[in-house]
Amino acid sequence: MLTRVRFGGLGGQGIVMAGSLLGEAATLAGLHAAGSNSYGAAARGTACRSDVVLSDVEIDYPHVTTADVLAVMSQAALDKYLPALAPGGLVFADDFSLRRAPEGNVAFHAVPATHVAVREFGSRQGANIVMLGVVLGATGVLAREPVEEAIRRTVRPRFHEANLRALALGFDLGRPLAAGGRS
Amino acid sequence: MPRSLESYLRPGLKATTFCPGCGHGILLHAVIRAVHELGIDRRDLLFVSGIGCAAWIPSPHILADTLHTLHGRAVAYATGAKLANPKLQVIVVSGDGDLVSIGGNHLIHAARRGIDLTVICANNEIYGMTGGQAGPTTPGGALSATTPAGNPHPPFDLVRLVLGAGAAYVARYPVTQPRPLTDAIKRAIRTPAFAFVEVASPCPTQFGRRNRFDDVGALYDRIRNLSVSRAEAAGRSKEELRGRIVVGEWTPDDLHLAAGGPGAGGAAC
Amino acid sequence: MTAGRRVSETSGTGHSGGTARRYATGNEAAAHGAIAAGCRFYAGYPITPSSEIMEGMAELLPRVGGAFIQMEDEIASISAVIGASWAGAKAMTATSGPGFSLMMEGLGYAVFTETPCVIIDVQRAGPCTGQATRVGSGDVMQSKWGMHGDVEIVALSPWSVQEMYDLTIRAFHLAERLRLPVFLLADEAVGHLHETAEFHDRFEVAQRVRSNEGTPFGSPDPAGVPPMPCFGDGANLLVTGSTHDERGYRRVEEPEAHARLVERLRRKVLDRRDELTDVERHLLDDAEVAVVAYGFTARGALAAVRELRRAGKKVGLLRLRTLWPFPEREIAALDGKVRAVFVPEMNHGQIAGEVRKWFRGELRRYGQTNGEVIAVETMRAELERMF
Repeated sequence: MLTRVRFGGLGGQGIVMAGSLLGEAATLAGLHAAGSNSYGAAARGTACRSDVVLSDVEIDYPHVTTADVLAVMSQAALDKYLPALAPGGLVFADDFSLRRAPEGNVAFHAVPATHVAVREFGSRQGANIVMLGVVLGATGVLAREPVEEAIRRTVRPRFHEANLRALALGFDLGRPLAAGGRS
Repeated sequence: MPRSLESYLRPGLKATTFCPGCGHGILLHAVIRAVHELGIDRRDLLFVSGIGCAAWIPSPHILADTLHTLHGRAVAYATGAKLANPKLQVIVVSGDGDLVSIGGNHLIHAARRGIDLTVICANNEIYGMTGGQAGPTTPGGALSATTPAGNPHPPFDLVRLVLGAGAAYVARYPVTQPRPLTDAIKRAIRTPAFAFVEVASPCPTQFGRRNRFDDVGALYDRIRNLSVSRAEAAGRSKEELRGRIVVGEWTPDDLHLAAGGPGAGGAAC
Repeated sequence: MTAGRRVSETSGTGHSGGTARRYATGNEAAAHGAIAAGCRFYAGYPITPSSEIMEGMAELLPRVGGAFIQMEDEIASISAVIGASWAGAKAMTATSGPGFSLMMEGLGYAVFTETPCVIIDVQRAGPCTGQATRVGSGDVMQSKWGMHGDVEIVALSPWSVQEMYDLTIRAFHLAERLRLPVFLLADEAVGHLHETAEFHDRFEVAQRVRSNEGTPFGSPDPAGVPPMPCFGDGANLLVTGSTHDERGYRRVEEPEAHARLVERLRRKVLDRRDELTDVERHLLDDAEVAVVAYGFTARGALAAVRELRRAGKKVGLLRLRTLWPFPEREIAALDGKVRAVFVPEMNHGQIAGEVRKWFRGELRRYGQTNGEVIAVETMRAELERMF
């Protein structure tokens, strides 16, 4: 089993955090994980991605050149990373900033990650964790529990509850997508 | 040097490397006498020096741990040694060019941090070892190998520099006042924070020869005549103190005072 | 962990903290490895992409009673490290290209005074300020030839987060055992890579022989490593960067004294080449073409090799885990065994030139200095042209 996940978006959206939590969680679950991030010189507002490779054996090459799962939170990220989608790969895009859905035969899902975060927390913050929950719910790449444990270990305690709730909301959004197809 | 202090000299050395008339031998004696009078356990003594004539004051002469480092870096090496073994009594002895020009950044940052080091700067107002080039303490107007028409730049006032950077104790004495100098070194060592002693030490070979002090005695007279105590200086104007060596001790409480220095703002030579 | 390792008699295990399985960056792993190896002093200056090592040490060292200090620049950092090492602490700094350049004089001092210390260089895209956040591997030659005068040093090259941990420990082992500065020549791709790694205690690391017996700068064995008393041990040490004799006395005008010292310091490394050399062989047994690679590039090279194997091409990988002393025997052993060698590097042939000295067959090199890792498909395409 080897799964390559790419989160893409803008600096400040928590893209790196989503990737880090997934890698941390995979490690807690006894898998091997490798992650690498790319971001511009500015911390906020520039293009940003976070790649994670998950595997049950040691990982030969740790970078993602083609992704099995692409989860994006900006139109620019969708446009930029779609060509690197592996055959049969899945795409999840936050519908908040989505203007054009991809053409062609792509398993594409628009998900209301930012809308859910704003509705539940009154802020866009948390949308990244909702998106992470969507990926877990829809792909089953990893169970929810190790991700919850990763949140408890790496996030400051006062944010535990909100992050765990965001994860659960995303997971519930993702579950119905597990069958595949476009939505 | 009296026989009682000879145990502080590394065996096997026949003579110092200093030129006839150099002030550094007097400073070597003052440093040894200071650590002797303080009764510091020899095992706890570490002398660190950079490159230049003054760096040879502790290394190889003093029989204790000595670290003869790179040009300018003595204070940084000393910082590492002190942090790794706080028991060590770390004393840096080096020259003005070494500590203040190439090593100036290390000096001010060590003073800022307040690490418990004693830094003794032998100020001979010139680069001696490399052949008499101007340094950061060469008086304005003075002749050197690189200022054949006279030094166009003013020198540092080391007391103000180091005090301003945060030193807990600063003193300045010429080698012509060995007893007050020794006492100042003792107080610097006893200061449990960054302490600095500037020592006016004549260089007959490079500074004296180039600036027409043909006999060594005249060079010592110059330093003696230029020296004024803090008390004497207190009533004098800035103009009157130009080029004078104001000697004494300073603490952070004196930061508002203009200390003056050897050739501060122009030399009498 | 590493094949062919020998441990000095005075070694002991580094820590008893057991094993922790972690998802960490290479830089974090290096800090943990240093602490596990007994490092108790760190001096440094912030520089991308190595700063996380410094931040890790700032957090970890106080927990084990060690000392951490942020110095005013990299020159001060290496100076403080050397001072601390002579005061008895296992000491380290980390930096990247520009800071590594500034440290050169101090590193020469460490070689010449036989001061154990570890320097991690997380290489970035140079020359000059270059691309500070991007990867490069342009410091390979500088680590060997950047100091004035002739010196032999040891440089290790990690390709994973696990090896940032393991090889940092090995760097301390070799530094303490041989009284040398040892370089960990990492790169940004490995330093910033996150991976699952084990912070384990299955290693041995040499402890310094702090004896006052004998002479601290020479021993009867010309290639020997003299014991190293430290400041405060009552040895009345005379340490100098000038040419010195076995006791530390300056010998700045005797030709033989200088030649003897320079040669002894060279022999100390070169006579241990077999012990120091550490390479990994992948799919080489029947290979017609060998890739010689190191650092993160070797990771991609192995992926390319595996892809080509699936396509029936007989290609293998010789991965260099030590760059200096150069594994010349291992390269020479390829001569006559493989038809051709391919050397991909994130510089313009710094190791390829060394390979050329020892391999007489076809040599293809690929140098890339655009701030990006060499893509697997790039290496595969280059290799395909060799069949």
